[in-house]
Amino acid sequence: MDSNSSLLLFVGYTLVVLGLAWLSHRTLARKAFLSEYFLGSRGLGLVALTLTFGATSASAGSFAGFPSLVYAHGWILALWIASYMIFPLCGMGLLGKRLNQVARQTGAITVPDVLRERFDSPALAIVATLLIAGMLTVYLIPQFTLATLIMEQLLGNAALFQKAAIGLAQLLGNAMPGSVSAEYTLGLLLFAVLVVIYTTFGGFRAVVWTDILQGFVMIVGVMVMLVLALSQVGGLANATRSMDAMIPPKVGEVVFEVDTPAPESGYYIPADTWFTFPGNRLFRTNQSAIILPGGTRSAAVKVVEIITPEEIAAITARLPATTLPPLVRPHLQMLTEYARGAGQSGTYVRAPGPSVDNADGFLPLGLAVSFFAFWALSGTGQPGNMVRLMAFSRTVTLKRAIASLSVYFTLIYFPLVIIFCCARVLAPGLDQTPDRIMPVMAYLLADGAHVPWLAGLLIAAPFAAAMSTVDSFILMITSSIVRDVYQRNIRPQATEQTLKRMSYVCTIGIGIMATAGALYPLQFLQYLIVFTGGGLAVAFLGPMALALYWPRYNRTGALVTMLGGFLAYLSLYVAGFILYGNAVPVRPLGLDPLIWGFAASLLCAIVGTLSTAPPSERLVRRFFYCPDAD
Amino acid sequence: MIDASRFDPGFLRARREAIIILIAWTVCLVWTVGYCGIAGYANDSEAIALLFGMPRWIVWGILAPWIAATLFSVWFSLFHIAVGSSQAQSDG
Repeated sequence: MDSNSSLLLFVGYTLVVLGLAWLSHRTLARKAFLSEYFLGSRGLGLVALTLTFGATSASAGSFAGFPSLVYAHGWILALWIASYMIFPLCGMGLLGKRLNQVARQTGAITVPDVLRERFDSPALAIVATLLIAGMLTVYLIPQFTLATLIMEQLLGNAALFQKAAIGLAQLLGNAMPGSVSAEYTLGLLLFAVLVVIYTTFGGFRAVVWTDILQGFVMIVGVMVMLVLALSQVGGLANATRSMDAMIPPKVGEVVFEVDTPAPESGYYIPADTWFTFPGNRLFRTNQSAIILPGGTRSAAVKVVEIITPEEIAAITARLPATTLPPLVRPHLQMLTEYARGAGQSGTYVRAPGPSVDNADGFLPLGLAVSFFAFWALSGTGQPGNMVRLMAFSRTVTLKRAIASLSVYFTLIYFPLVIIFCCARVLAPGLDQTPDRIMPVMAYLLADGAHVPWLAGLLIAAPFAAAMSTVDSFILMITSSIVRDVYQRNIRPQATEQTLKRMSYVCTIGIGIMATAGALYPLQFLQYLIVFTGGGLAVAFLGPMALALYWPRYNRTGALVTMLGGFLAYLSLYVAGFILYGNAVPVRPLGLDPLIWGFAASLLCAIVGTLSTAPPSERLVRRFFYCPDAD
Repeated sequence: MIDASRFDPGFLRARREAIIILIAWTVCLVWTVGYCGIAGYANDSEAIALLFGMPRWIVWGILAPWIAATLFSVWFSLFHIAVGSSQAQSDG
């Protein structure tokens, strides 16, 4: 790809985002600060509500993690993601109208605000605030990391970016974190500064405006990729038949060796290098390898062995005679077969899909049920989505937004499955580093269409998704601290100027904390995202839904619903950590902890509510009776 | 004592709509996971049957309910969700 094109694209995108923040800041100066900064003065229209809800829901995982799963496991991912078919209706329709009504009626601008008013309970609001602030802060770190990885892929080839990274490494010297590259650190700083600036100075309105921009970037990116992928693979039927013939590869490691010490230039074997082995065996490296000057061996790098005879024949037919540097020879270290699907064709087009480490396959039926609940119900229970439901202007806006988002998600998620099924055929042998498949496909499709600059636009889609999620969460944490802790509990008489200063400081502070956390990337990023997302849903969906629809529901019931569901969910993760030594939870009856968390919260709600006194007549009248009733 | 006869019709209507949405989610779950459980998890060794270039079980188990759910969502949101009397404040 033309590296200058991607750099220019990024600079242009940045200028637009900053321009939107500046415009939003001007609006902010003319309105009541808190309501405008955290809720955009409840003025979201149709396009804004649709795309801010859609863009916030579609995090970096949708455009980085999800494509890599489709690539690794095939058509089964259509079932894994299937509950997005009903997500807009659940996510917006289940709570939207009532929540917006109650928030307006009480003047609430945050989720804890609503709970405090509904139950007349500051304690419940504080528990809610702590859960939101704690979980979202944890959630931000992997989002920052994923966004930075995407940025590295977007700008990594640009000479200016590489020079700046070297300059940064020299500037930081020993202060440079050892676990990450200079390019990663520079990408992280650029991302953090951009997001923090526009979120801090623009507030909710800037976040929504950038969400609109990002929502358009995402849909255009997906549609262009779909057309290019289908045309380059020779039609969907061709792709599916090729997948049907595929046998899952073997995965392992390889060391490259030379007999005599390497010359001063050393030997460099790039990632994705194809090489053959006696016996018509075909391999592809998934990482680059270096034999240092004077050395005779590289470090072990990841390699994939293609097993499908048709693929081997097709790839070797177009390979040059030699692909490795002269005198360099591969030495295979170990190769592992798939736990599910080894030696079998057809696993990429049938359930439960192939798996490297799970003999039950990628998606056993019990887990399919869990994920159907996970996406639709977990999305409905996210406080970040609830805030958006408090911000629309009229019910008719909500009605049209549900319809629009239903079409929008249909055009995003099902096509993503098709695109990355095609990727298995177009870009084979990346099974050890499938996270790279999005940028690899962007380059491949753009080059195949002879429009190299298009790759920049295609990679901008996941970057936009990461940004739109991060900005919303930063703002939510700030609102929790400033509104729910400081103004409500510490200084109710704080002036608008003080609240404004505090909001700016908090937003910047949270950005710095997340940046610092992302400098030391954690293991299990995807698990962390799933864990925090599920934890928030379990803690908030039950209390909020019952608060809006069950007049008998009281503060004790709400508190035990929130804590009971969350603790049940957490305990299955802790048990998994103790039993298996990693972040995989225990799944009784094959069902995800989210299902057990929801079940526990419902049980706690019923027992906690019915065993204690009903709410006061005043609260019931305020929230459930006719306005003109006695 | 909670007096159900005094409930705001807007609240009751919103609660009915929420129940319908939960039923719609359940129907989608049963259709999708039920059909895929029967047709997609079958361990037959024959070549996969295709429809529109996709495995047939994907079309009938996921694409068809997806289109149906989208159409239902559009119809339900545009023509069934009411702008109740209590919404006057937000709809004004």
